[in-house]
Amino acid sequence: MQRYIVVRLFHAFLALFAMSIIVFSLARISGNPMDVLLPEDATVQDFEIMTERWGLDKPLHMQYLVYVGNVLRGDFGTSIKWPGRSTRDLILARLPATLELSFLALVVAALLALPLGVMVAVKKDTGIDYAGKVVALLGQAAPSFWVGIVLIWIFAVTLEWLPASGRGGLTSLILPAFALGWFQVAAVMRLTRSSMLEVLDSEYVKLARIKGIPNWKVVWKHCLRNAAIAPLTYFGFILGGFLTGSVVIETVFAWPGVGLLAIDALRARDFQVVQSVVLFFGVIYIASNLLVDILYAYLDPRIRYTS
Amino acid sequence: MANGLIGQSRFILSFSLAFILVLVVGCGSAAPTVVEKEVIKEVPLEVEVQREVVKEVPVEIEKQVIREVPVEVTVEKEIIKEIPSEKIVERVVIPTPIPAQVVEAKAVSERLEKVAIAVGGQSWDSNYSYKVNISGFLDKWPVLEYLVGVDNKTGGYTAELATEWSIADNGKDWTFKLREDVQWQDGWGEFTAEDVRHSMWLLVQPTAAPSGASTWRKIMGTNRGDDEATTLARAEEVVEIVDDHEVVIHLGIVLPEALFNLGKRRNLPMESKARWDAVGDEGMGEKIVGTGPMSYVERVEGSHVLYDAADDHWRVVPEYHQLEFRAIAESQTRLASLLTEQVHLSVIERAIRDEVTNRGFEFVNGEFPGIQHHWTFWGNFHTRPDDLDPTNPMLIKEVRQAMSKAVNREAIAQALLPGAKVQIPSYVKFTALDEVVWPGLINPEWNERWDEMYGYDPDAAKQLLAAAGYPDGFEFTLALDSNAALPEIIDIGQAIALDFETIGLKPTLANIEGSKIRSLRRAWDIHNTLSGSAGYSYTVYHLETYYCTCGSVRTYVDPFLDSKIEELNVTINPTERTRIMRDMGNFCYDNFCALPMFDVAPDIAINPKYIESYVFPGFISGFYTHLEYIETVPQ
Repeated sequence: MQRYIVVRLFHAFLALFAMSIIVFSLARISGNPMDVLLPEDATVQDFEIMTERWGLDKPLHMQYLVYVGNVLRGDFGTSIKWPGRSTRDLILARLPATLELSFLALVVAALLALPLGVMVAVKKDTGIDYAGKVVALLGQAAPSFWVGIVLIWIFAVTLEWLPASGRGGLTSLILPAFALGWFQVAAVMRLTRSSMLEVLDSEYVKLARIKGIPNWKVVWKHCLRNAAIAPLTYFGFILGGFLTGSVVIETVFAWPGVGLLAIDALRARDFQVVQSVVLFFGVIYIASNLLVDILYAYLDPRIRYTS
Repeated sequence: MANGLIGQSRFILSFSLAFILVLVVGCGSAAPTVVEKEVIKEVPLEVEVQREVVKEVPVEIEKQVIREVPVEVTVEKEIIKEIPSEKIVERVVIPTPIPAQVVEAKAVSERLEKVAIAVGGQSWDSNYSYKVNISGFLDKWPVLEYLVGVDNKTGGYTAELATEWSIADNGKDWTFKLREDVQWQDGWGEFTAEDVRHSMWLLVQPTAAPSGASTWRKIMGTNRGDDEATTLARAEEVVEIVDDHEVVIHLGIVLPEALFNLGKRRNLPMESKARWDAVGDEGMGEKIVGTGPMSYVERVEGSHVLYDAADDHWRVVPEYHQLEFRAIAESQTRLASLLTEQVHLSVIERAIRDEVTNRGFEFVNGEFPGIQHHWTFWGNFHTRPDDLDPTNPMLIKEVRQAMSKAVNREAIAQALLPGAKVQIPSYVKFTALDEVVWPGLINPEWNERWDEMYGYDPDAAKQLLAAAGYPDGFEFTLALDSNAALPEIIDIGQAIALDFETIGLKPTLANIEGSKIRSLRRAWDIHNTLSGSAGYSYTVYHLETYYCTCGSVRTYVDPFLDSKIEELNVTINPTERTRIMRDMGNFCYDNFCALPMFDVAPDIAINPKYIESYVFPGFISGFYTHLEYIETVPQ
């Protein structure tokens, strides 16, 4: 198990290293960052002074080493759009809004996807199963920004039940959480269905039925308990997906979280913030995947040896 | 399972790469952050001019003091004395202050609880006035005031924190009399001359990063990289304090149009020195404190900025208790927020205007066409032979004319800007507003010859191309980049590409960010490329920046234009300055230095259930100024 974790950590480190190079290159792909930083009427002297001040006159590999050194010290740079603010502080300030949204989206996904998955598995090859497949298809095919806008038009503009945008109380959280969770509802439902079908076919379930245990108890207690392992471990993975998916949903709903921060920074060409947010999301994603890997290994000893 | 895990690792890596790629792509299509518009307009006044100083030098300028008077017309008297014929008498004409619009307060019970305005994602989200571009002033105008304001109806200069002003005979020294008994919010004391000096210093001190930084350094006589002590010393020299309510600003350059820089059209809001002394640079970012009719309540980054309206203010008490700016990047969400009455005014894309008007909402336009749209023929570096690309067809005048005549401006405006207030013809950076400041700036012949020179005529365009040696057209790059002031600019680019194809040209459409163009033009290395822009520039600023080898943008440079800029820089007489600029205009018009499209007035959707009227000039960067003068519907 220890060896397995070490190997996984090494893989995570490699992924982080690759990501840091890509993130570092981002700011330099579209030319000199000074063209973004300085106003249109900046003089050649302005360019020279600022280039030196930002260390952009150094060779690329030196710039990268300085960047990595700063990141390791927790210095992610200073924002351009938000003068005087460190990018780390900006991310931390926006994080609660994103976590709040992601958590509720997770709840939405769990509350909808697990029962639906169980139901369509139990009613395999019936109308309900086909309907579930359609829901899954729509959920995975419909882009989240479109789902968000449709929800706004139905529940805010037409029915006037919920606010269309902004962050302020539980009512403002419902639509973005649902829009964010919707994609994962489809995925988790499919996963639950597959696991349930496998479990429903197992010997101990047949035995339970022969013993006369009520069907609802067999399904919801005995089957779901075993079938839920796969979707539950998957939840760790989709939490990372929620954080990154928030880029779109937060923009649609004007929800002031880290995702919207990334978009605002992109619009303002604030490459320091963009770099930090991408790095932040990357770390979250890698960490959540690492956690899932370890969890799998803990649940299934065969994984430790084969890897 | 092992394979699955390995596959998962690959997936992790692939996803990370894909995500970053998505952001890179997103970055490529993002809207530009900075939109600058500069414009000036002098209000026509009935003026009797008094000329009583005649000096024995070749060039002398008479000082005029113009005072704020309680009537709408300011009167000056002119007495003409005998002038020896060989003597030249010059005057510096400065715009007369219009008394600030003073509005009587409505009863508290009649005031609307809150007015909320939805705008797109803002390029700046900060409480600092001296560290942001002028487009970041949108959410500072309600709180901060200026020496010289702008009238929302006429666009003229109003007496805001300065009650009167005058310019000395050297074209550099400006005297401002300051309004008395104006108090800073939060108890920072009375507004005085010390605050004026401090506010000017803020723009050149080491932590500053304002719009027009290089102009401010010229005005203050400082250099980038000067330390705090040096800039402070310069500020003391430049801003002479006569007493608590009078200052003389000794500009580092001759600038007869300095009111443009020193007023609300540019970025010199008054900031409290007492507050700076107490809280320092870091504390200035915590909130906005000014002398305006609204006081800062909170800023939630990425979400909103909230203000309380004053119950008592010398200029105006808003007809509502609170004002809120809401940042909503997505256009459909802004529309939904307007329809659900979460906001009362909203910026709406023209493509979905019908959704708004069909539901009983209305649009109001800015009083002036604040968005001037044109395209640049890159590579015309005629003062730098080594940097010219001889294979660039855009160096040929007939080619530029052919391209100008190939574009059907009316059809494009009708199709892509439905309902917008559009003005054709448009003379690049020469507008009716500028004509008021410099009478005679615009040559009437430009209008008379418009059809012949620039009017839509694809057949004539083909003939011009053939005459230029390109009967079968040529290939070139048509650079597309989004623009916050004119979101339709990419559609417009695609439309003109079709017009070009009609006459045989072969444009290659490419997404090229503005920053990339900047980088190329700085190296004089952009050729055979057409790129669009939309914004507003004060004529004199535009000529110096865009049409001079010494400028920073340099869209078209030529020895003739350079010589005119040199002449302009040593000329004080307004008539002469006008003549020089018009000469440059003639040259650019006749040589097709740019491809003009049209002028457009900015607009905003309002909910007439709450908003009775909103009048804004529309040429100040950010557009939506003067919100304190909104008239609300009694509820």
